[in-house]
Amino acid sequence: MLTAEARPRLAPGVRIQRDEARDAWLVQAPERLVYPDEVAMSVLALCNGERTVHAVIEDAAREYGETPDTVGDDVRALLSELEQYGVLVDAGR
Amino acid sequence: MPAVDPPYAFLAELTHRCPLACPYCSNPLDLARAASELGTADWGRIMREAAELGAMQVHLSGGEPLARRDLETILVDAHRAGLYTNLITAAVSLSEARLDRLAGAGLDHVQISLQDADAPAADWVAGMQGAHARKLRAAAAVRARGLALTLNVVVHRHNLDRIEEVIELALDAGAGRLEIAHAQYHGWALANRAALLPRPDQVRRAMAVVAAQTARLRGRMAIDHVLPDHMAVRPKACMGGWGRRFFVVTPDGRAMPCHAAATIPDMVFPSLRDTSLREAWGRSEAFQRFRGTDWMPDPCRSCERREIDWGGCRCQALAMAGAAAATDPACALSPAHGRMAAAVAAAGNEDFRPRRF
Repeated sequence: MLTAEARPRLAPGVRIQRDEARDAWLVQAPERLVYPDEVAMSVLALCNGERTVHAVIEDAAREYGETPDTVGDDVRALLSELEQYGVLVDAGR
Repeated sequence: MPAVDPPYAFLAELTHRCPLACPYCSNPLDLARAASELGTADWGRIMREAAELGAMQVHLSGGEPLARRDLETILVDAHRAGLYTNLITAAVSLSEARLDRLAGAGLDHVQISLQDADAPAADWVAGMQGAHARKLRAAAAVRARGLALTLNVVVHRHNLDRIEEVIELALDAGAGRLEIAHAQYHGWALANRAALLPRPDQVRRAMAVVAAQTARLRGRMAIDHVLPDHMAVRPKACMGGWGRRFFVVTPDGRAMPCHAAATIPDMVFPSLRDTSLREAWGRSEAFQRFRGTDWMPDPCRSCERREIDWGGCRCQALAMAGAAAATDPACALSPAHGRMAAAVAAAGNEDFRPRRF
């Protein structure tokens, strides 16, 4: 599980690219395709292996003009789902 | 005819040549000889046509894809076309120098097959002394280069009881994913079914072990494992549905909806030597035959799950129910469902027939 102090980044073998045929962003992972929505894309962009989960939530809140308390649960759920898909890992581990 | 959605991924069977002799090999009993294989330029064209059609990932497989000396060139073409490249290999012949070249050519991910956690048992199934140790060295070399690694273990009667050891081995090897795949009973595996089908108590125990380990290892290693068809009550969406998401190209250039589709005797598969992939995918009779839901018999056509499982596996319907268009016998609603359990009951510890040309 990604804790508040974990520093999520893309897992080895994961890259983000444009899917021209379907006009969408695509996260390419080992034998897995994940189509993120706009919010997921902006959260993924914050996951650079340096920001902690705590900082990702703060920056995502700022981006959307909200408070960390309002977006925290949604961002944590999203990060957890992306971790389960093998898209994110904890850089500090 | 309604517009056909483009495929997401495809399996490029570059060759049927392989140094191993696993008795559950997914290749057909009638293996393609080296002389009939597509050339380098053909594969390059197929990579570009696939990407233009909308495919995002290619699984470079075989046989053993490392047996192709032009693998690096094919890989460069796939990478330049924008495809995510996955090498599916036995890895016994994967040198560090070759791995460097493949990584430099744009390889995204490596999947190595293991036969067991126990070296002598693994070498026995692979039909090659020392294979297991070589695979583990190759896996370490993959991780040392920071490449993503999946390990794949086909499970059956002779290794399923060592599932904990398999999981520990994969964890030690640094795999990000472990695929625990029950043998699929087509081709060589069907010929060896009586020697391979696990007992129901073995399967139930393994399911419980995997569920517990999956939860324990979350965030460290993903484990893919599903209930095998012989113990299921509903079919799986084989290939995500016939001609819906996925296709296979055989070593001699035929495009097929799945790797076992050639077992269906009256099918003519388009050759990509003289047919464009767009034509093969969108219009060929072979891809159209079981696409969507119009072809379905009852009870499938009125089933609320018809667009969840897409009718299951056509090759299993042929093998177990006698007709490719029949209801998949993995489904409890199939009149032939009882034959799945009967096959399990009839299985014992017979010797298997190794895969050979």
